[in-house]
Amino acid sequence: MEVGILILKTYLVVTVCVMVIYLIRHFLFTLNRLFQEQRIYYQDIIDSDLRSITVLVPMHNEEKVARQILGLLTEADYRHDQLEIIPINDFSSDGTPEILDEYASRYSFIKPLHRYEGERGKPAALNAGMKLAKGEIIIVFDADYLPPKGILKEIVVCFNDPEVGAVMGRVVPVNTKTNLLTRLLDLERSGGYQVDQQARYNMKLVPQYGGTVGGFRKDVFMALGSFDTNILTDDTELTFRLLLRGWKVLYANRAECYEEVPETWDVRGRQIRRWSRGHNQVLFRYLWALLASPHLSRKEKIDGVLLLFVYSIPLILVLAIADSLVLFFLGDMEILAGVSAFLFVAAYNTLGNFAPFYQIGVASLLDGGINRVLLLPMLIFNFFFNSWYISIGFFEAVLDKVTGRSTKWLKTTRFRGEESFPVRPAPVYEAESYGLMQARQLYESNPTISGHRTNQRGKFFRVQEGSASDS
Amino acid sequence: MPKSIIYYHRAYRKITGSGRLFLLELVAVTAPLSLALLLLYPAITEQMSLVTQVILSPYYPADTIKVVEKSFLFGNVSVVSIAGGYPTALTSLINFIVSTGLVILLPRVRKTKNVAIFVVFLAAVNVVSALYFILSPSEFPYTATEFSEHYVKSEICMWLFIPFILGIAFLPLPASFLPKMVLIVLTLIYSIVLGTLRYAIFLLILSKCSVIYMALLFFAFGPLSDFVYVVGIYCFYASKLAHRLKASEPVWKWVY
Repeated sequence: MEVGILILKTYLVVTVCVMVIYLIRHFLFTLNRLFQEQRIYYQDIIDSDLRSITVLVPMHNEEKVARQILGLLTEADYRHDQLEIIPINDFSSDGTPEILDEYASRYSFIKPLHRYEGERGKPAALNAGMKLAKGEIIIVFDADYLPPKGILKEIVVCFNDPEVGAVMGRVVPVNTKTNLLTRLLDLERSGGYQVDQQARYNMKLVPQYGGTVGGFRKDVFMALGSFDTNILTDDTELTFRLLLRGWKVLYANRAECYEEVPETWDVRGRQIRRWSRGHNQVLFRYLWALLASPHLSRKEKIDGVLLLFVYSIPLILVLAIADSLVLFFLGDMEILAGVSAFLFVAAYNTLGNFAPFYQIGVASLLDGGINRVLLLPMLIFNFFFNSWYISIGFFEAVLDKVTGRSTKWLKTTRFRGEESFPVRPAPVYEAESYGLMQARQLYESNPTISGHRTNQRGKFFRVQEGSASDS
Repeated sequence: MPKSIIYYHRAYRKITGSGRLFLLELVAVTAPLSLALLLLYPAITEQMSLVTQVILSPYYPADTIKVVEKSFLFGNVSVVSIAGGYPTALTSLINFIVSTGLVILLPRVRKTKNVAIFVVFLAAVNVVSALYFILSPSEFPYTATEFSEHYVKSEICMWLFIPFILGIAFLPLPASFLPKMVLIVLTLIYSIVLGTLRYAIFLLILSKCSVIYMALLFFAFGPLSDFVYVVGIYCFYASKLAHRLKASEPVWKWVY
């Protein structure tokens, strides 16, 4: 009994120590992003000799959103003779194939791939797309994204640096105003990109390639081998595969792209559970390799390890809470009086929500947000919600590891209808200005995102809060 | 229409500040407040307990509520001594059934699922507590007075923690030191006042309802709930500041 209590107390103290490490890490990120010199991306380089690129857009039953992303990609500011778009119809049973074929008939650089054999899921679809891709650089967008006109050039330019293996742009929710969940996810994204990713890029740590709004070198990818279709977070896996072989992974805070975040808690739960499962699969596979890598500095290794454990910490916290409950009923409230205060504070503010409240507050401030930060206390509920689904994902990853079972890809449900983002059907492609016009139509005609506008270069920005200024 | 001012893009804008200045300010905030708390906590807890005694006095005979002293850190803390009510077997059973029902049913809620899962957490704590009282009620390790003592001690820990965490949150923000310091002190005072009111409510629940809810009060409405208003005050200030900064172009710097 005595030994058992000692173990429980030790676990509690160790958990608090882990929390302190993460609190310090995120505090350093916050200070760095706020005060230190910002490491800018390569967007100031004007490259007239554009590289050939292939844009891969995996799609499984994406008829609600397919026209919008394809429409915007056809209007992208990139020479068409250097551009190839491969929308991958991945076992769709809705109208997606017809939409892809319709666009392919109008644009020679759109080459749809229809898949109805083999494995389903994003990694498998990307592997199939890679076999057809002719571009030197591969750029990936999820089907619900709304790429602005200049983003392809912005992403590609960094590959003039021969050390760069992959790059990740910033993801900004477009349906922020839909409900409380989307507003809270907007806060979460803001903290994650504006502060976390940019600070890691500033500090030459480990920015993460996120699997969309990003690109990588095709030849490097082919040399590394295709995506493991059993790993549900192909992006995290690619990040570590590149890092372990000495390639740089960059973060481009200026390369913003809008996405649709989940609008219901069930969909969000499934999404975060998949992320957790995939991320922990990567943890189990790459932890030791990361520690032993000769290509990474000590600080990169430390940050890499902390990054790998991000989706394990909520479970560690849940277990610590269960641990304190047991200690409570065993009559050890004495230790809890001191430790529990810190435990709960750290739990609520650190990893249950992926970022402490001060990091999200600073991100919101930098973004120009005024009112959205008032929702921060609501994150207390998200802490329990996230912990629940992340813990399930963790156990699934453990089972994957132990049993070697194969995984099944579950697509995130889309909420957007064409009525909310009207796209001109069957476009007659006449003028270069059409893309800008179309983008304006998309944003200005939609009352739910009336705060968004495009500037003269076709970049999206908000005129209300969130991104008050744009050059 | 052309813009009259083109602001820095959000991607690389920053503010001026220094890590050393921040550390100095953090010490300037936390050191005096921590020192004051360490010097004053016996007096603060005494006042807290006396106020609680006054609040509870209409509900109990005068001689059943006492303020007693317990040792903590460098001195004594005053705590309210009160007799707790113990649940009957039926009460424990009802609590167990209702809480288990919530644990089973609430995850099926689709809307406001985040709140539902939070309530599942509360119910799960209560399930464990009810089960404990069903199986071995005589072995429950605490009296209401012991809970009272631990509550006061954990509140002191929380008060010591507030200047530090709010210092970390407030001080990097681009505003002068004094208002931030004032806000931290006000938050601390608010925490003491609210902590006292909550103390009285907790003791009332433990004695009038039963100690079956002790775990729930400790885990769900203790330090965790303290942080809701701490974050609330932070975000209120951050929002006001953001509004002010919007019209204050010189605050923002670019890259360097």
